[in-house]
Amino acid sequence: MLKKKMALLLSAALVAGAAMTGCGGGDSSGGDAAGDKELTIMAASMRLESMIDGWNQMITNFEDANEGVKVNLTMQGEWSEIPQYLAQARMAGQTVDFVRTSGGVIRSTLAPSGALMDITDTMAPYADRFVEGTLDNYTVGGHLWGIPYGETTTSCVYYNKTMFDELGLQEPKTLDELVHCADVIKEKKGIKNAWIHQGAIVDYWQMWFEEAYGQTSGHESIAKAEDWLSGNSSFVNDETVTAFAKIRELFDRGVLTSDSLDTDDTAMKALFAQQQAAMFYGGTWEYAPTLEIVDGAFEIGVFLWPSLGEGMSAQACGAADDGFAVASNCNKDNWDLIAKFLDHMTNEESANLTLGPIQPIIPVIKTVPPVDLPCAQEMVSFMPDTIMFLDWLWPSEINNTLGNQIAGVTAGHITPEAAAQAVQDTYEKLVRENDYSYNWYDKWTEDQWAEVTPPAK
Amino acid sequence: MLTKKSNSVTLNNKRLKDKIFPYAMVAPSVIIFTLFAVYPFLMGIYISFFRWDGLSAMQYVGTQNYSNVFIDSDYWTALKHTFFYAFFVTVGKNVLGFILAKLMMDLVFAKGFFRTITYMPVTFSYVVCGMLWAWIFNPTFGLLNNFLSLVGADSLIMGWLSDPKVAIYSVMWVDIWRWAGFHMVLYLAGLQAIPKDYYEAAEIDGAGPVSKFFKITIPQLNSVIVLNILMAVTGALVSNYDIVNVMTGGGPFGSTEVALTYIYRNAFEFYNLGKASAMSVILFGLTLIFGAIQIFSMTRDENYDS
Repeated sequence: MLKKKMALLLSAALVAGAAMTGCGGGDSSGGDAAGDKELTIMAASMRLESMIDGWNQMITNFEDANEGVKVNLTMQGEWSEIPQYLAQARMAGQTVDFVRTSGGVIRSTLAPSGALMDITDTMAPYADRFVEGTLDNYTVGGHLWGIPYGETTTSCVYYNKTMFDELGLQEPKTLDELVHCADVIKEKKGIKNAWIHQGAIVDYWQMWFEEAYGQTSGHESIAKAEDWLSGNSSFVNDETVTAFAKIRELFDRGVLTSDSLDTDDTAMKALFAQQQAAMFYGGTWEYAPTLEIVDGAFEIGVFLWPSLGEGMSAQACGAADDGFAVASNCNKDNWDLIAKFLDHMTNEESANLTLGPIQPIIPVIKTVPPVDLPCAQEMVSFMPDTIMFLDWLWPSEINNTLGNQIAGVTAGHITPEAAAQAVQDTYEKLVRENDYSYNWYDKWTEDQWAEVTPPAK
Repeated sequence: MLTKKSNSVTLNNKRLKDKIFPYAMVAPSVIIFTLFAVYPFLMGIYISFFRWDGLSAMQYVGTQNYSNVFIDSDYWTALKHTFFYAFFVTVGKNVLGFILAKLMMDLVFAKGFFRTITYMPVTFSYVVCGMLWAWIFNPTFGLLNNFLSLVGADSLIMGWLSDPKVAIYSVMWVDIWRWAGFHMVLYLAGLQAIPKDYYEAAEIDGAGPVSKFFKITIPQLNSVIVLNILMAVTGALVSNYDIVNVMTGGGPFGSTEVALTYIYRNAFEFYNLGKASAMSVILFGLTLIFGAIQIFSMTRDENYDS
């Protein structure tokens, strides 16, 4: 009998537990809780402990200055996962006031979905706090959908300067010079990969395409991509096909091997640090971790992609990254508080607390000092030749197809023409299935605009 | 009179309790299953009729998502990879599991030790197995290529995960490696249950090893084989997401893209939840048909005739 009662009791507890698990949640930050106000920030994980400390201090300062206000900072997952978490929060009816993710996600996923507030007017008084041009990365259709809150990045090729000097090699300016460097390094040092690439990460192939396309299009890749995404031209053209072909040439001429198709960022840096590779492609964000892993064993240098053909010149890619935006499922009754927080987080003291630990080479907020590292000035000099990442323009489907096609082209499975056609097919599929429109903001209804427009004062 | 009535009420209460008791016992499982399996499944079917990115309003599109899936060659390629994967992984797990079981039967020393180490990979998660083998397969500092180089087998060195022609076999091997120990245990139990008298009688009649294997071992193991194959097929069809995602992410050049990774990509990278749901429904339907045929063909009574 006792066993039976115990069993029933356990069953009841399980049922209650399951019901609570399944049906729990609700509005965790709906604004007034016992007279207090709450703000909720949904952020991707931060890579440095000092960043987290800085954010917590900045938040504490805000709470101290605004009695009765509580700011909840939740950090989880990668940048690319934030839309997923935001969707879950919306389905559960939870309020999320701010999201911290990449600018690419803000531009190409969240803003077109109506998941963000238009903060053009809200941020207007603070626009001069940002380095000139950085807010442009977050402006789509004349509206500001987020702010940069990290550092401005640019891409480059890192190389083992000590090894280059020892072998009497100069920074390559052309593809032929690059091939020569690779041949000498392989021969004299007996290593297999003169240049190793983190090709296991699809996004980096997209960046390679961007580098190559920037050259083959005569530095017109952004304008031409916009024209293509607007449906005015085809992706299959001489410039895109040549870009694929040029990437393949790097493999055909022995600068890279197929090892790069299965190498991630950790392995790439490890090979570079162990001097099993003399060059790798990355961006300003790779510099500090690379210095750390190399640990002074040799001197590191940087150069822009060499010219891939006659009349072509390098064009790097980058952006003012680490985006911060206001979610459209925010508590709009708290708009004054939301605006106050945006003001607070971008002031000098807060920006130094949160962005100082990143040690930015190229800061996005004027009052944050740039870090002084050996190659920093050279990287800053690349900025005039840097354009915004193309994957900030186009949807992730295009990015995924591009990455896959480059792997196919380099492995010799498909031709550059077929690769370009596959990207065009993906675009057409997007239009057919999702009614994709590059100028999505022109199609929005008044109701959609009302949903993302801050309440009038 | 009062006592009699009271006794009757007590009896009725007891009967009622006895009736309720089994329902109360299964209630937690039913509720959990409904909440976390039935409800999401039905929601998946519902969502498959909408265009939805999870963030903006749902837009009813009828069967358009299904039409889109039927003309999506990437999905059918991924499905082809899935069935290819399921077939070879099922064969690999069972053949290796059976061979290991036979070896364990004949082992004369350290039986416990060898059984434990053979079974150990089963206790590892797919993520751990995937990471471990991804490092072993690594083209530059992986153990496998370095070992091949050391023993002078340079011609066998290849891009285990970077060559689109090879990558899917590398992933399948890890799945086989992980589960072979589990299937070994089942086969071992089956082999130990076969009476030795059968073999002795067959030997007296002049039967050789091949004849004994096909006339005694296989028929006696039939139910174990059915169970092993069912488990291996089901696992390979619907549980390959983790290992593919960890080891290759579906690449290179989509050569290891299986239905589950493609569905996930559509749902959580492309935010096309309607189409991803339609793909899931189609995969469910195909798996159901395939599973039904398999169960029907492998569990007929004549298969169990001694």
